[in-house]
Formats: sequence, C-alpha cells, structure tokens
Amino acid sequence: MTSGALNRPLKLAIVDRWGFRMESQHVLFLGIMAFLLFVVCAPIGIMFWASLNPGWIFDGKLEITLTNYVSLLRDPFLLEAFKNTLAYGLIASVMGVALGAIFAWLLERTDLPFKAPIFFLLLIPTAIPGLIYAIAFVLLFDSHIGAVNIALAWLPYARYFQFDIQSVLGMGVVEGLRLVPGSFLMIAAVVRRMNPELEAAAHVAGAGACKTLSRITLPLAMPGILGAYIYYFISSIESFEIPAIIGVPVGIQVFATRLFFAAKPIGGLPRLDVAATWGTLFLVVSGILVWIYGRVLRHGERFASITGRGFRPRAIQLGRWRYIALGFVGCYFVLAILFPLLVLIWTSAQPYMRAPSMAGLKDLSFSSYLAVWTLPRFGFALRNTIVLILVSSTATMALAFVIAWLVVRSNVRGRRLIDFLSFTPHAIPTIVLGVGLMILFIFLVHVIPIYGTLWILVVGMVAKRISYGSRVMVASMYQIHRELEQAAAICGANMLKTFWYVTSRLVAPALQNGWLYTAIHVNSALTIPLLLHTEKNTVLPILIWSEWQDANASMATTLSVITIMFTFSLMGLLYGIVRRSEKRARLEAA
Amino acid sequence: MLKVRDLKKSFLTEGGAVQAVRGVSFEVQEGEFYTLLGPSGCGKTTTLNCIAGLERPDAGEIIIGGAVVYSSRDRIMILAHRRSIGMVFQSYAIWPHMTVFDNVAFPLVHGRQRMRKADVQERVRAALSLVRLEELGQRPAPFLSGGQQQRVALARALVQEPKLLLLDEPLSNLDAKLREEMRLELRQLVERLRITTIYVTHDQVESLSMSDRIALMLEGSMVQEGSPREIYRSPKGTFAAGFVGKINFMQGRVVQAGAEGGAGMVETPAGVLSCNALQSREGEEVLLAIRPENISIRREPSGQENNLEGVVEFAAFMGDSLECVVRVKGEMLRVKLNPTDEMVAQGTVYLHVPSQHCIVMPKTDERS
Repeated sequence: MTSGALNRPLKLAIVDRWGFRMESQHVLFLGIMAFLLFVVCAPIGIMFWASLNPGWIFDGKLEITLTNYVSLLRDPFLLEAFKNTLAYGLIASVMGVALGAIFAWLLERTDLPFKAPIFFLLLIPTAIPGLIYAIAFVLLFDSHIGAVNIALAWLPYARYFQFDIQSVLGMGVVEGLRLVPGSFLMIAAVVRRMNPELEAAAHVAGAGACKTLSRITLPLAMPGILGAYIYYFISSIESFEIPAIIGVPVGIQVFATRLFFAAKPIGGLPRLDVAATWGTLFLVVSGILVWIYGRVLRHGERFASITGRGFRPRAIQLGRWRYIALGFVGCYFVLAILFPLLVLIWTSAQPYMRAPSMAGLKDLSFSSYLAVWTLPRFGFALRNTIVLILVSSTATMALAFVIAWLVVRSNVRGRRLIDFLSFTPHAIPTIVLGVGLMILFIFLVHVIPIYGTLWILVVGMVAKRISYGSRVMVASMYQIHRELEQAAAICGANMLKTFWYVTSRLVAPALQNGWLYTAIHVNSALTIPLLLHTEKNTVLPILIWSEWQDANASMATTLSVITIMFTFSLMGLLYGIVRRSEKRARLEAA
Repeated sequence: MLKVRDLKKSFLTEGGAVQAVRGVSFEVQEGEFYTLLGPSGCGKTTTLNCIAGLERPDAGEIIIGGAVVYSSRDRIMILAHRRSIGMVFQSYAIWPHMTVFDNVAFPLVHGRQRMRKADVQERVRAALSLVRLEELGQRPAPFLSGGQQQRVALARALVQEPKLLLLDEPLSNLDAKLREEMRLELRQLVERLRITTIYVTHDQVESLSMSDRIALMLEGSMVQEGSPREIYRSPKGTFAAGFVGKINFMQGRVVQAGAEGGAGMVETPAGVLSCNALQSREGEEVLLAIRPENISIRREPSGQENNLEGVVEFAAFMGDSLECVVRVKGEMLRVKLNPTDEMVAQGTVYLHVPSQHCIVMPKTDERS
C-alpha cells in the first residue's frame, strides 16, 4: 500500500453524518416523556386544580377557593372513613405479612414435606380478582346467608363460632388472605438472601433453634419484613373492591369507597370536585407512606443481611411439629382457596342464591353457563375484555421496552427522569389515578374524544401497569451485557438488525412474562373500568359487579368462574414459560 | 494500516466530566502486533472502542487502511458496522440464543458482505478449523467452556477476514494455565494470517511476550512506546519502570556527569555507582533504578566497580528463582537469583551491579 493511498480518505459515500443517532434517540425520549407526563402527571395536576375550583369542571368558572378542603375537614364522614381505613389496613397487612412470613420460614428454612406443590398452591389466590374473592367470602361468611355460618348453626353456642364478614375485621381478614402470596414471595426473597453462616455462628455459640430464630433470624429479617408490612399496608388501603363489596352494603366506608361514590354516586349528580378533594388527600397520605417505605428500605440496606453466595442453609428439622405445620398449611388452603372456589361453583350452579345443602344438590345444574350468552351485554363485554387485554398488555410492554432501552442503553440526559416517572404510578392509588383520568378526559373531551370508550380504559391500564412493566424490562436489559450488542455492530449488523436479531431475542423471556403478568392484572382490574364506565366500554368485571349489585348471585358467580378460568389459563402459560426458561438456565449453568 | 491522531474522549459521570483519553497518537504498520498496556482506567479500552467505532471520540482522527473512519475536523464518523474490523471482547459476547455455527456465521449472513449459503458453510468451517473447533458447530453457545467460548469469539472475529483485529483483554477470563497456552496460540495464529492486531491488556507478561510494539498508557496519555525490549530495558520514568517488571529505586545525586553516552557516577545511600548513558548534569538529584535480576551476589568482594556490601535480610524460595532482600547501608534492595545460589545468599554478601543495568532517571517527574 503506498503512502498516498493511506492518506486519502476512501468511500465517503457511506459516511454517517453526526447527529443522526442522537436525534432518533431524542425523538424517542421526547415521545415517552410526553406520554408519561400526560398519563401520570396531568391527571394528578388537573385533579388538584379541580379540587380548588368547585365550579370549573362543568361550568368553566374560575374561582380558586379552599371551600372543598374546609368542608371535607368538617365532614364527620372523614374521621369515620379515616378510622375504618386505618383499622382495615392494619388488620389486612398484619395478617397478610404474618402469614407470609410463616410460609416463607417454613418453605425456605425447614424440612417441611411437599414444598413444591405448596409453593404452587400458595400462588393461586393471585389468580382470583379481588372483586370475586370478596363475593366468595360474602357467600361463605355472611351473617344470614353465609354457607359456613349456616353450616355451623346447629352447634351449641353457635353464635360464638359464627363469623360476621360484614365488619372492618371481616374486610381486613379477606384482604389479608389475599396478600399472602405477595408477602410470602417478598419475605422469602429476604430470607433466601440471608447469610446462613450468621445462623450457624449462633448454633456454634451454643444457641438452640428457638433462640437462634428469635435472636438472630428474626432481627436480621426485620427490615425486610417491615418493608413488606408497609408495602402491603399501602396496597390494602388502596384496594377498593373488598370494602365496596363487603363493607359498603352495611355502611362501612373507607377512603377508597368515599372517593368512588363521590365520583360515581348511586343517585344524584357526581361531585367531581369533591372526589378530587378526597383524591388529593388520599394521594398525600399514600405519598407519605411511600416515602416512609423508601426510608425503611434504605435503612435496611445498611443491615447487610445480604450476601451473593447461593449456598443452601441447613434446614431446621421440624420433627413432630411437621404435622402441626402441615395442618396449618392445610387450614390456609381450605379457607383461602378451596372454600371460595367451591362456593362460587356451587352458587353458579344454583337457580337462586342458597347455601350448600342436600336439597340444593338436586337442583344442581350448569345451565347458567349457557344462559350467560343470553345476557344482553355478555358477548360485547367478552369482546371488550379480550381487546382490552391484548391492546393494553402489548402497549404496556412495548412502552416498557423502549423505556428500558432509553434508561439502560441511551445517553440521553433526562433518562433518570424517565426512570423515575415510569415508576411513579406505583405510588398513586389506582382509584386516585382513575379519578384524575376521568377529570382529564372530561376536560379534553373535544380534543381527545375517548371518554366513555374502550380506549380510555387502555390509557388507564397502561398508566397503571407501566411501573411494573418498566421495572421488569429495565432489570432484564441491565442483565444483557452491552458487549453482546456491540459484537453484532462489529460483525456489520446495523442498529435495526442488532435490535431484531440480538437484543429482542435476549429480552424475549422478560417480554413474555411481563406481557402475561400484565394481562392477568388487566383481566381482573375493576377499579379503573368501573370509574370510567359507560355503556360503550363494558368489560367482564363490570358485568360481574352489576349482576352482583342487582342481587343476581347465580349470574355473578357464573361470570366469576369464567373469569377465574381465563386467569388460570393465563397463569398456566406463564408457569410453563417460566419453567422452560428455568430449565434452560439450569442447562446453561451445567 | 492504522493511524490514530490526537484522539480525545471524555465521559460525563456524576462527578463531572472525566478525561478518559487525552490526546493519544500512534501508527500501526501492516501485520504488526501492537499492544496498549496500562492499569485499569488508563484509557486503553476507550481507545480501542474508538477505533472499533463503539465510542464516538470528542476530537482527533482515525484512519484504517487509508480510509478515514473518524475525523473531528471533517466531521466524519463511520459507525462500527461499516468499519472492516474483527473484535474479540473481554466477555467474549457469544450470543447465548444461537449455536456456535450461527454465532460465527452472523457476520456473513447479516453483516457487510452477504454471501451464498454454500460459501457461508465453507467460510464458517474454515474459521472454526482455524481455532480447532470444527466438530462443535451445532452445539448451542451456552454449552461451551470458557476456553471454547474464547475460540468461538476469535473465529467470529476472523471469519470476515478483516484488515484489523481488535482484542480487548481476551485472555483475562481464562485460568492461568489455559491463558499461557492461548497466549502462544493466538500469537502464532495472527502471525500466520498476517492480520494487523491491536491488543489491550493490563498484564505486562502478556504484552512483553506477544507484542511487536507496546504503547504504555497512564491516565489517558501515552507514557512510552517501543518494542518489548526497549520498554523493559530503558523505561522512561518511574511508572514505566515500575509497571513493567519489578525494580529497585534509589535516590541519588550525580557526582560526575558522563561523557556523550558514556559512564558517569551517581552517589546513592548505598554507595557510589557507575552508570551508563548518563545524560544528567553534575549535582542533579536523580532516581536510580535497578532490576532485581540484574544484580549478582557473591560471598567475597571482587575487584570490579559497582560492588556493594550488604546483609541478606530475607530470602524466599520461589521454585524457579530465589528472591532475596539485601540491606545495603539502610537501603533495601530486592535481588533475584538462580535457585542454586541458595547457599550463597546468607549473612554478609557482596552485590555486583553492571553499570549498563543502572538506569538513571530525573527525579522531578513523578509518573511520566
């Protein structure tokens, strides 16, 4: 090669000018940013604005006043709702986390038999939507019609054994049972990461099993348990379905139901400004709790109970206690899974609501599963539900993918802000987000006329689920070594090809899991659809809600069983995919 | 073959901008094995990524085989996938969702030069036989050992027959024994194929044994460039001397300046030593550097110059050598001996340092 050829620049035709790639990632950034601001910040902002302007939403009057806040603080219902919410949240979270911790300890640290099936059964309650779970427990423990209460009626002193579900305690217990799978997973993760040598050291020092548990294991797991506790306190006071089905009919109101009935009163005109005021207050309360949660978690990190070493600790021998432990597990399954499912199936097979009995056995017929098709809105609702699941899960995961790419791979300046904004919906109570979206789209009815259509539900679902989806995708993107993509570029693949043949293939398991998990949640979501409901966007949970409100228990339970079966099949898919990828990971490790 | 001129690159971090590369220039001839050597954070990998097109430099110029691939003045930036290079990454970057064959075939199927299926088969087979993995083509990538992954990565880098091969610490994830084998094999392979190679490493033994030329880097700048012998025998400055091999440093003062390239005298706490190639002025404070293996040891004093009397403080048997610490009037000197000298290295001993091995460097510079 001559020196002249060396110095001459060649092939200027394939030169990429500066700025091209910068621009394309900036366009993505601006688009995502605008969307997040619109679905997360705008609803909250406009809700706060509406709470200060009572006449603004419908009359367009501008008059900033604190009247709403003053009258809310004077409202005797506020104190009552506050007390109920607090008691309900306390009972639910204490129960959920205590049971979760016991299960975590039993499955992670002892030689309990049948661990694998127990683990699988423990996750089942996540497949039962809150609305359906609440209906099942009313059917089981209602003071008049509850199947269990009727079955116990023949006992002497029956009223001491009977349990009235329609109380703050009842609501708390039902929500608590529902929280068990989540809190179990959360605490099991903490227990698993705990260095077993710390326990071994206590044994060597002469401490017995009980002493080690109380002096070493529990204190070490405490930050994790406290974190789980606050997390589930927040999520239980946010939940609307259980108080609405169990408490409201007997006049027990919590924050979430007050907020809902201000926005959607059963009779009379909606007072969106009052709902906005409740919503703002609710947001402040949950914001404070989320802040405390963050503090606890940061505090917990200092408690370095965590090592990266993955060796199994010595399992504690349960001995004769294993039967008691198994009995405890059995009681939970019977109460939390078997009874609710059985009572739903029983009621769906009866022409009218009645407790299980020999007489009822003769009338057993599954004709209601055919009769649902004659419901005027069933086919419509089914179609809407499927469209909603497909569109919002796909949109959520696609957005999450782009967000993850921006956060992990790009060098846009505001990527931290995107990361933060995409997580924010997690801290906003669903019902508050729903009210915010409602006000926003009523305000924008001429600009973006989607109020009352299925599309507003899609927006609401994506806004709520984006925090989960983006967490999954960001985590998965971080796990993919940057060099895997760089290698493709070196091999001559351009950005699109790298994205298609390498990046998307590597994050595919996370995308699938995230999609199915989102689909499960969309399938069981009631709060947002109920708030934004009109005749045009009925989905299955709304149909269940209205059949139940119309005292048509047979139809409501039939629809419930159909919904649960649908969720189970989604979960089966999820389980299959997880199993397959775990198998693959094991092979790779070998 | 490769020209890098005044390359600059900085990164934005939470603590502000960090200058990773501060104006590095070098030229690599066709077929040369050129090593960028330095401690972690010296900018060697950033320099390599700039050559590959994976990083966009802030300023400078890069010319590969006569084609300008980057120039800040002419505003040219050719992206990585349009540069004709092969690269082996530190993590190997073997795609886990493909077979060995698919990994190696990727550049031919999705890369710059597409080819017919039969040709792809032929080229991949040839590349795999080059790294002695012919029989593993259909194996999924996750079922490979570290050494095999390394070979696959090499085959993938070579399958396009690139003009330039970039290697980013390719041996650092292998165990010691395999590393030694691969070092030889890699060197022989690129020599046989006559590919210009840029090699990045922090391992001085690797760099000395493999390279035609070494560029020693520190804090984003090039400290010294030269053949392995030059770098080892006449390091420029204390960093170069200390980073490549072990060395003894002593404070000293020039008592007699040397003639043009001739010997001079340096006074050290251990005694006055005659030193070669002394370019300093008389009275100047200097540093004297002596490699441990250049010091010999005797029981009796000899009449030669540069004789020092000392006491053996400590001796460690290393298998293939005997390392001693000898105290000479308060200075501790490390001495590397043949293991058969064990009987000699006890009590009072006499050290001899040939004057051509006494390296004199100015005291003022701390690092470069």
